[in-house]
Amino acid sequence: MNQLRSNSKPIRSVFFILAVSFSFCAYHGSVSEKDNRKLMQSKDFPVLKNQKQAILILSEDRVLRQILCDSIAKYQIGNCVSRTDINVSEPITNQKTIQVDVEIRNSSSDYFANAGKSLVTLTLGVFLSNSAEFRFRIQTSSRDKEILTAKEIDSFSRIERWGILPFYAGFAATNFGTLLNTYRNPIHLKNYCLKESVSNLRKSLEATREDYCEEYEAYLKDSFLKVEKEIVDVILEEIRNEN
Amino acid sequence: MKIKKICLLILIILTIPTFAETKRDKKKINLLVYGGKYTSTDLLPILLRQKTDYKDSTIGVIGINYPLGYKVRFLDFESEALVGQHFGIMNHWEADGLMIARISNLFGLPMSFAFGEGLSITSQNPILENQKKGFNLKNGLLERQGIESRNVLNYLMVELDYRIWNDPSNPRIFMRIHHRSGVFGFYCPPDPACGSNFISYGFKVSY
Repeated sequence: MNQLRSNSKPIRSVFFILAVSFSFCAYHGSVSEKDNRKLMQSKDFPVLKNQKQAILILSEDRVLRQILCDSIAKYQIGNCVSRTDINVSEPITNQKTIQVDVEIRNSSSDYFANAGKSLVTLTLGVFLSNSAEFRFRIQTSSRDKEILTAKEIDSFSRIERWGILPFYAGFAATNFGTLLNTYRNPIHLKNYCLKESVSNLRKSLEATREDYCEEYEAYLKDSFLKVEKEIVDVILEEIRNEN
Repeated sequence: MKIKKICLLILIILTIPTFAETKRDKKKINLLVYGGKYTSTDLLPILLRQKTDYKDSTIGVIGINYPLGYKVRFLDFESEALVGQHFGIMNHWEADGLMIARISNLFGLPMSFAFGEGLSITSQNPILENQKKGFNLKNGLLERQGIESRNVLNYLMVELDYRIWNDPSNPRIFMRIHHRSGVFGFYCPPDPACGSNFISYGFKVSY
């Protein structure tokens, strides 16, 4: 048994400290969310340049409405108003009505992509992601409710997390994790954030309404920010045309 | 037996104030320290039969645990790094890195169950994880096949923790099975499989 003992203890001790530091740093930075800074940036509200341009946004999706309002404020296009904000006593020179909706298509848990990535990393990597295509429909109309233009803009969102585990464990965790992660499909998130009520069983096994809405907002913002410039251009063009 | 019951009752009374606020602060780093005793019993019999055969070998471990702030359904994920020193029959260092899945607030109590998976490295091949072929004087059995372990093995842990006081530092006591394993022959020759188990008890705080 004594043959198993090694004489080079100090060197090995240093090696262990290095190994621990490395493993901790690797895990510490392993979970990443794409474009986190980008997702946060639309929360900064600058002073509005065009205070008198009122923009009424009509949408069944309150999360989308909020994101669009943030964007309008960010680009200083005008003043985003809701129906209750419209006050006859305050003179508003221009009011533009924009109807915006989003359709989610091909919502997926990316099973084959995640399993493939894990195999490429020799089963060391754990990959969890969900993705979907988002189609934004923007309709603009004047005060007399006549539809002037309608435009569709397509976007795509994928939010991915990854980690490192020992051989085989990474692949097993990818498979098991992808199965558990199906509730993060954007279409499912939208459904339970905006339409369906969340039962107690669903709250304990999946997520609360706040969690659903938070996740849905992350996907929607990710896809929206990819085509934000195009959407803003459509709104700006319509304002210019009417003026 | 009576003392155990009294201790359990005191523990429950002490932890009643913690029931009010049972949410963990998900971004705080946890520091943990634990100690355990070696058992030659396999992991499943320990978990299912609570039958353990202790040996005169102990381990002392300190570690850092970092919550990743990511949740899949009811599972919270954490990463952890550990450094340990063995005492008694074995006398070597051990380092472990692992990822943990945790179910918090079990049964509405300030208690959580965790399962961790990672890698374990030792400064030398652990003596108790190896077994020579031939007649064993200790147990009087003829060992037809020896066990040949390795420095690098899979690390696995099962933990049950309990918050003992409602405080920002979130102090918890826990019981953990510290398990090194060859994963059915992946890290060392299978049948008989190599590995070791330590039944451990410890304490952790957030900061």
